[in-house]
Amino acid sequence: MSLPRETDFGTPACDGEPSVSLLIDGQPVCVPAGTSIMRAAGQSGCAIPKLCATDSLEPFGSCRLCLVEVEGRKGYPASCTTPVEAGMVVRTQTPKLADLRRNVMELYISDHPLDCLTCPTNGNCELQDMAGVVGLREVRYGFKGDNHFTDACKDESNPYFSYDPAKCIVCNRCVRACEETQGTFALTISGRGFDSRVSPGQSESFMDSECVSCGACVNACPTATLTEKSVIQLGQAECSVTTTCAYCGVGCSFKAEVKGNQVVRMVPAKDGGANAGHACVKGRFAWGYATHADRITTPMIRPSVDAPWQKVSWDEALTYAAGEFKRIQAKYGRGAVGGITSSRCTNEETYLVQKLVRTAFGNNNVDTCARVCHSPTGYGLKQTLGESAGTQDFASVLQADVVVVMGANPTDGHPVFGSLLKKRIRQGAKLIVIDPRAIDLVRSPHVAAAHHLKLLPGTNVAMVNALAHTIVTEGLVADAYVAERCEGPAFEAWREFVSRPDNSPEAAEGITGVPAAEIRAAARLYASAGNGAIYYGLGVTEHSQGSTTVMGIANLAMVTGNVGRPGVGVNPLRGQNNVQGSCDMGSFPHELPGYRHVSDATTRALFEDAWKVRIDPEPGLRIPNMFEAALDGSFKGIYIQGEDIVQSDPNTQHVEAAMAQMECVVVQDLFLNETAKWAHVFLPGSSFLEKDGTFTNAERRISRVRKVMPPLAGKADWEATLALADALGYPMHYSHPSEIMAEIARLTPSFHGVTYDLLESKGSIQWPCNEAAPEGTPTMHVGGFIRGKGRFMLTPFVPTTEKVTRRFPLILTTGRILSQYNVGAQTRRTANVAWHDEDRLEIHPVDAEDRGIREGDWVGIASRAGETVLRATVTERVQPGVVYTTFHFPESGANVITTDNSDWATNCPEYKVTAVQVTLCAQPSEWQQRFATRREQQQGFLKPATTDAG
Amino acid sequence: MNSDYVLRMANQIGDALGINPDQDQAVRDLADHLKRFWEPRMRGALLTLADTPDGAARLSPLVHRALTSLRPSP
Repeated sequence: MSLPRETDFGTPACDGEPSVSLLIDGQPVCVPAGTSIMRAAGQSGCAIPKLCATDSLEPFGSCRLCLVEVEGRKGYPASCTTPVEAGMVVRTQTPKLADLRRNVMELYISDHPLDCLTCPTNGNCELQDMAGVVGLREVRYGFKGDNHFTDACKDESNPYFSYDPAKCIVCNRCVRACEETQGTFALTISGRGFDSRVSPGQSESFMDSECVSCGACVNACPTATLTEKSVIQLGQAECSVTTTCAYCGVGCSFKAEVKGNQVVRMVPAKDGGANAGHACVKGRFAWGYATHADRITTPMIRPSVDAPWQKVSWDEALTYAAGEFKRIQAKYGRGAVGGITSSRCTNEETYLVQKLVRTAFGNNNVDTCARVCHSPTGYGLKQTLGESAGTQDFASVLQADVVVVMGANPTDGHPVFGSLLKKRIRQGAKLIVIDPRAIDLVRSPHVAAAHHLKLLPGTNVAMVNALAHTIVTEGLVADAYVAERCEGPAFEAWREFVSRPDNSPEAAEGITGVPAAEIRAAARLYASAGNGAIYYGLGVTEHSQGSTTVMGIANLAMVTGNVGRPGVGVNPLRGQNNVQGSCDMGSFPHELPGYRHVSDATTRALFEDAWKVRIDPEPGLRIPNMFEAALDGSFKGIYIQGEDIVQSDPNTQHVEAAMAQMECVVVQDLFLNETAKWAHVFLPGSSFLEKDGTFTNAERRISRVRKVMPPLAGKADWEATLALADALGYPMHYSHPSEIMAEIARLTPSFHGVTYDLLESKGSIQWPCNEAAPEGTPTMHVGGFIRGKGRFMLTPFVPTTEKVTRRFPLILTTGRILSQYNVGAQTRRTANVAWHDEDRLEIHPVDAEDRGIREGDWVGIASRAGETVLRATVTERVQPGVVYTTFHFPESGANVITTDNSDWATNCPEYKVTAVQVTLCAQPSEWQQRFATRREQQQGFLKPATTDAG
Repeated sequence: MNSDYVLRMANQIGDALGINPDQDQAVRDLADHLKRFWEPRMRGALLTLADTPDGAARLSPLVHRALTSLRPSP
């Protein structure tokens, strides 16, 4: 028994009201203009047979199975490529059509192996279905087709799916999915007639081609030609559960197809609000970490970080942790402990952790990983627009005329949005890339940036000021918009500021390295092309002036009138699946849920009444401040849910020194990560497949996370936090995450209307969702800004103190790669390592030649903070003077080099600018050697605990 | 709390907010920022630093002025 299949209308829906009336098989039908006969028929209940058509792709008209008769027309047009017309009379079922369709199917089946009973898609094969639908009873041409290849012809190179050319009917759906849905253009059909084959790249294997393994081709395939290996291995699933991906901030909706408690495959949901049926290699395929052998599923404690772990019961671990936190507070004071919420966990779980800190700990020492990524977004957008979130939904990009991508790499970091963006660029929108490095968007198949402003790392503010200068001094200001919607005095002060000669493109040229004429041309394009949309990422925020750049971006959007309607906006591409949500839920030490400052007595009174405790009116410690406080002896205990601060925070040796000063570190995680190696209590975490809750993505979209399998350790993360709170003497009473959301909604104005029932009926909701916006808010600031009038902020360029010198002459900047995710705890435990199994240092050929470095050489990278060793990749992707690496593997020690410089407003680390020297070398750095020793020691400490299981 | 750490951050904030032509407003903004985002022990460390000759010399004038409003009333 296979799962019921989703309805497929064959061709995409057309926008607009139903306006074209026709008759299909005698039934009156009315559909929007442009709709195909196939879709109109499907919507009226007359499904027309099809093979090459699917409603995620434009019609192609090759299979000839969907022929229909149209009164008054000669021949038999393909219903997929024929649009409806008013008054049309269509017949989809006639004896002649039945003959034609059987003939077509005879041809297909004559060249298709009839191994249905052993085929992995038996029962879930459109070819099989269509043979039944057309009533195929004989095949006059026999069954020994030329394309009945042996297994040797299969391409098994991709770790996640198999390509079996024998099963291919050359419908082109995979090729079109690669083009239209993913935008990679990796596939084509080579050969003619019986020699036709799906060909990745230049007749290469899938792994050797440009294929990015998004799975769109597998999804589109109507036969078993492209099939998930998990389906081949496990068989088809019994049921499916709709849930939300736990990787990036796009927040794709998936149907987890399950057999018992085992996931068979993850299929992107066609009705997913964020992804509309698309996915990337991580969400689609890299979910195996959830049941990886490295998972720790039993609580553990130990007296010191140099002692072996002891496996204990939940009660014992929680009692020990609570006792230690109480002891520390009694000895060192109430502020000596704190917590970190996880952007990997659900809204409900992050809410509980901050609530635990504010109630059971009695302070505001709570922070989240947004501290090290998008905290400047929260600050900058609140100051200018009035709300700490992006302004648009993802679909908005399809109405943009010019798109600015600054300090972001969507095709790697947010791949599903990257595909949507590429689609819009292929439709004709212009693209401006502002990035030190030539990301794929700068030039890829059918996509080319109109301008690539290849600035030096650390000069973002000079760049946004120069763009603003051009707009203001060349008469490109949206005067009426600014006059109506923005604060006049602030605008005038800002206009005077950016008009100064030292903010001109000519002045910026010497700072950024980008020719003034190029800056001016980009500014003119953004300001005058119609709908201008800005998308940005960590290349904007992770700087000593991250908040300033965010405010500068908001200034640009306001001065050009590009906020408050579809197609425009200021769009932070948030990093983790629930980083927006963790911020919304009050994870920052100065804010209660809903971004309300702890000093606000009215807000405090609301929560004090609900929680029955006094809330500290003073802000708490941020993560970097916690490290400093640990080093000065005033911060001794921490509860960390789902974050690996030791690997992900900058200046690793500084972080390690701080961790070594702690007396009680409680880590709640899936794996023994780098932070857990400094822990005294380990509470086993639960993956996104093991719990209920919600995630909020980068477009403020709240989506359900649904339990697919029971928690491997017996408790979902929210249950573990409840138990810890209970042990601390502050019991919280919730029996399901929906009850936690009900409390969040009651106490948070922007969530007042959010309920699990509403999520169930709508699929997802974008906040604000309240009395004023009961259906949610896809576009913010429509008609006016959240704060009332938009506020222009002055954005002086202050160079970073992290300067290049003769000793450290290069600038290191960091980023992510498509196949790996952040610290890699999940993706390193999947077959994604086939694409990326080590972090490398990208270096320009000129810099490499100066140092005698060749491709693949081991090189030492030294900064003022530390030293590590990686292999070199010599590439012109980076500019001379700039080197680049990823940070997915702990042994790489990328953050051993980064410094503790940080954003002036938020303490977000300056990951993107580190002065370094690069030299050839022959052995790992001293830190790496210590790391290897410590890793072995800590794994050894784990062994007795894991072998006690019996 | 490490004095260099708070000193560097305070001066950084001063650099960012000092652009305001209304310097009295810049001082108020800076003091407000320290109140809204700095945990009390960080503010305490900064005040202690400002009371030392070396620390006082290294803090920007704008930070000095802002600290006046952060000191507890006598």
